[in-house]
Amino acid sequence: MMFSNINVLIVDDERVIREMLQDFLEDYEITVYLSGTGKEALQKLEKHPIHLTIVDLRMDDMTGIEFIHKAKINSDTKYLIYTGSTDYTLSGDLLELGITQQDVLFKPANMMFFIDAIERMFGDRKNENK
Amino acid sequence: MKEENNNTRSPESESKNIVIVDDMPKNIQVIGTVLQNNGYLINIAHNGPKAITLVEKMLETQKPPDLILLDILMPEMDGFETYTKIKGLPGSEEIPIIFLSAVTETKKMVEGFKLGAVDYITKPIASEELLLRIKTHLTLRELHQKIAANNKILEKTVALRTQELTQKNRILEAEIKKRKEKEFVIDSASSPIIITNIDETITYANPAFLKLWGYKEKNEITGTKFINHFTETTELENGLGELKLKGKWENEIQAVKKDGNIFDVNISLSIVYDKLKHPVGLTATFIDISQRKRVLTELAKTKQTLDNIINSMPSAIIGIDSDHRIVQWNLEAEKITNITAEYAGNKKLTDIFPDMSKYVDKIKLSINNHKIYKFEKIILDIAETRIFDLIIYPLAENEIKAVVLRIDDITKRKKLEEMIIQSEKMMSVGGLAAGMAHEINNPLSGISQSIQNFIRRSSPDFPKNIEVADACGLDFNAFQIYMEKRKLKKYLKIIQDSSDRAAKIVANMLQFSRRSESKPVDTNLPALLDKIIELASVDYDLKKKYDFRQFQIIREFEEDLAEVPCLPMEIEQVLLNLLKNAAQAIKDQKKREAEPCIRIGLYREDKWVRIEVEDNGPGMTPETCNRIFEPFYTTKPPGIGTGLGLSVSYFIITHNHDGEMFVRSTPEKGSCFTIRLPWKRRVK
Repeated sequence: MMFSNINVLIVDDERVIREMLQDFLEDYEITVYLSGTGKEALQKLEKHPIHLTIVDLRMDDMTGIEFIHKAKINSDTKYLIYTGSTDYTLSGDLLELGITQQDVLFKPANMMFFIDAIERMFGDRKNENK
Repeated sequence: MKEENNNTRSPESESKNIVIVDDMPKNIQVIGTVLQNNGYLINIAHNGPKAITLVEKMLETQKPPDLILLDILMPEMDGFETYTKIKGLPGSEEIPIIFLSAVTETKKMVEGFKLGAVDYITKPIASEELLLRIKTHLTLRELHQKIAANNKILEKTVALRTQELTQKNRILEAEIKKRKEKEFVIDSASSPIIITNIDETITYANPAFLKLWGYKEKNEITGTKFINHFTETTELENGLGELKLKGKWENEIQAVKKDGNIFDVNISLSIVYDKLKHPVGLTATFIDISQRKRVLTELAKTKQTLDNIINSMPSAIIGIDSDHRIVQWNLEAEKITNITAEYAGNKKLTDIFPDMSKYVDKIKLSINNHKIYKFEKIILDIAETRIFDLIIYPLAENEIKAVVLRIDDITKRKKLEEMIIQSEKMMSVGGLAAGMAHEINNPLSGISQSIQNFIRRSSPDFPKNIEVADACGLDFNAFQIYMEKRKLKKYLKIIQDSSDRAAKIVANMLQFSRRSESKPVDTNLPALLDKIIELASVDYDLKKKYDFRQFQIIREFEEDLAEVPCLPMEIEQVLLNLLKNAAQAIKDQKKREAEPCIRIGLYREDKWVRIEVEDNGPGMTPETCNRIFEPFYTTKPPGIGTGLGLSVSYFIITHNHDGEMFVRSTPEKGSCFTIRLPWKRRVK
């Protein structure tokens, strides 16, 4: 079960978290871009064709929600929210963007959940060959 | 006496003594013969002086002349002079004297009449005229004498009567005076007094009585029946009966005023006797006690009010005097000690309340130095499970040496305080947890994700691992064996489990800060509870640890329960937690007396719906009970519980649902958790 044609951007101000997730996803041949701030992530979104953005809610320069609102202008990437607040519930505007409670993952997560989510989102694009 | 005898005799009067005074023997002879022939006794004097001597003698011998015939013209002493002299003799006043005169002398007779002569006869004497005149004058005299005698008797009688009357008068006057004095005394007496006759009819009432009963005049009341002025006639009649036996009777009764108003008097009855010791009536004296009665009633009322106040105080109030004897013991004191006020009264404090022995010194000090002593949170032998405050304070009045003990059962207050503290603790934990959770979750994620990668990349199941190992010249099989032998795999597992546990704790803690966005929904609690029971028995984690089929589950749901507004997910979490705890408790119980059993109850209360979860497990000590809702307090062995389950439950019920949650437990009998949810949610 490999996703060599999927590009994922991880936005998290905690380096260890994004790198560990990167390692895990890369084992599934996913191309992973990393970003420690919202601002940098927005630039990466413009540069690269990103299919999925995994975004933390609390960041130094902006919140994950602000980031999504800014990003959606130029990008049609999908989102997974990875948060340290265990009780985060989605607000209405995010629901309008098609983000559901299923797309919210709580730290620390079993990283297989990310694979399950990618499978759910991009199952038709996975390449069994490799 | 003589006269009286005469009275009974005929007027034929031989016994009549007639004195004839004349100087002429012929005249005497003629007159004497006529008179003698007619039955008169005659006495003769030939001149004035002899006549006087004769009459004097006759008067002395008690045979006075009944009539004197006196010649006017006599030598030596004429008739007028003789007349005057005879009349001068004592006792002669009444003797009729008839003058004998010649026709030529008639003019002189005026003088004779002037002197008092009754008649005169002219000479020569006509015998018939003589007899007639004599008889007339004798009769007249007799009548005079009779009248005189009668008069005398009358006079005597009158004198006697007058004397009698005078004496009686004197006695009466004395009596009146006495009575007047008496009445004056009674009249001026300030106590109401009445006197009755033997028929109990009032004959006298003094002004004080009139005034008290509201009458103006004595005659309004005299003549009335004594008993009519009172209400309790039967009692009064009994009293009168008793009075006759004992001579005195006293009581408090109700009297009726003139205007019909009723008032209280003290009555004192006694019998009045006459000189012969016969009862002749009653005297009644009164004391107006209506004022006193009113004051007494008022006092009783005041005392009752005070007693009521003291008794309705939630504190035990015990008053003791300087001898440490009990003078006050209110209802709460009865409740705490189980000793009635009646029994406690006047007993030594320490005799009936030994717990107080410890404080005797302080009580003494309080009495003597006028100081207040306070002991907080004390435990008394009479009620070991409860907590009290004791205050000893001296009475405010300096003169009276006494103290009051106030004992308050503060168990409930303390519980409440504890609950508030608990709540506050939860809140602060909540605030702390929210901040902490994020900070801890990040490093935790670091650990967790790293270890996931580590495990994954050391696993033979992942082809890329073998690929990379081969490229490095590492025998992956040997690597696996090495990992096993040096327990690296076990360490990895421990790191992973530990991080999972830490994550769970943080997740639980975060619930304190959770502001539930979802609104409460009207929930059918019986259905929810059934679902939870079902869930508990199929829950895999639970099944692994305790088989719910081993327990008897008693459902005790009140029927037709209305829906309760709540957050079903949270209630589910709380109840599941309670069920797990109950199951755990039963499982932990070493010796078992009864079949393991969990009772789940659902009851309707006035403002609440009450949920109970009770187990017959080992129960808890009071200390555990007190701390059971504290965060991180756990009785489970390390690693089994987070110590947050119950505190989160408590938080959910009290904070999120405005409910109540508490536990009661008896060691070795079991525990019962109670949740109360309000029927109506307060608007926040």
